[in-house]
Amino acid sequence: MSCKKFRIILSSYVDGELTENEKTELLKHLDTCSGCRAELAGLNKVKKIFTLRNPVLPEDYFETRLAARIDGYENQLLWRKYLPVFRKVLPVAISLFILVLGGITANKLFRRPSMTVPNFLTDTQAENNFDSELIEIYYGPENGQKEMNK
Amino acid sequence: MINFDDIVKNYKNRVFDTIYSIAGNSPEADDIAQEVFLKVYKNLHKFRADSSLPTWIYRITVNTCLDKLRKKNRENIFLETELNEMEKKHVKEAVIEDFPDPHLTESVQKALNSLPDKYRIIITLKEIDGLSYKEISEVMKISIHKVKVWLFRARKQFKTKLSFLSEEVK
Repeated sequence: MSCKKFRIILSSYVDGELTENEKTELLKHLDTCSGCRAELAGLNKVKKIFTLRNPVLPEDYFETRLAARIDGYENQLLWRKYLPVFRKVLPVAISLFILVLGGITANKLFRRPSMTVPNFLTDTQAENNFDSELIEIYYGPENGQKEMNK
Repeated sequence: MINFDDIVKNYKNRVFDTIYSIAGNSPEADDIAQEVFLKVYKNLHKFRADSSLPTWIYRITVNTCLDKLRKKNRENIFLETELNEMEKKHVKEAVIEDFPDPHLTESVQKALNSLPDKYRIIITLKEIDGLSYKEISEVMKISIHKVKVWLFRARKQFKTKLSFLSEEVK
């Protein structure tokens, strides 16, 4: 195996991902190849740089912000849940509204005007009073009384 | 039964760090992390035990990051890739002294930003998340052979970026 191939294997070696056979072969090669030994040292130092790196942590109140985002999603979900029902009910509701509105408008447009019936046509006492007033106007107050008593 | 709150509690730091490493931008990492956990919340009922929970979460994380990266590429957002002299000095000192340096994270990130997306993702999953080759192949949906080759190339490019460490890292 050439050095080039061993160098690809070296990367897996530092990760502990070689089979026993590959490992044995590589270690045998490393005994005799200073170039690959230097490469191995370099790879180990690259790994070391990552172990010396401090992890970057989330900003404060990460969970609170996440909870708010989840709440927003839940609300959206609720709206989506009822949207199909709403879609079915909406045309019926609009039709009913138009029907009621049409009824009210038609009633206002075509309704017969109401008639005020004079009370002397329905009330006997009022009718008598009305008659006596007419007689008095016609015959005068004195003659009118006579006419009334006839 | 998997509890969502437990998932957030156990994975938020790991997921956030992974996203930061892949996306290379902290405010954006926060937004992506929120999106990842919202996806986990939405799809938790679909989760089957045919893959492990961490693998499933990392797959969602990587896919969400890739979506954002594609969008970012369309918007031509610039990420810093060059280390200044001070940062180079910090990296050198940390490696020599074998001691964590608070500035090292940013320097490593700049070096990572210079890698193509697939190499940045694979090196993150290996070096930061410590996943096995099998897990990486499941998360990225590639063969184990490809995992080996991509990791080799990713490390090679990463090492080139840190060539100022030539005395320490050959």
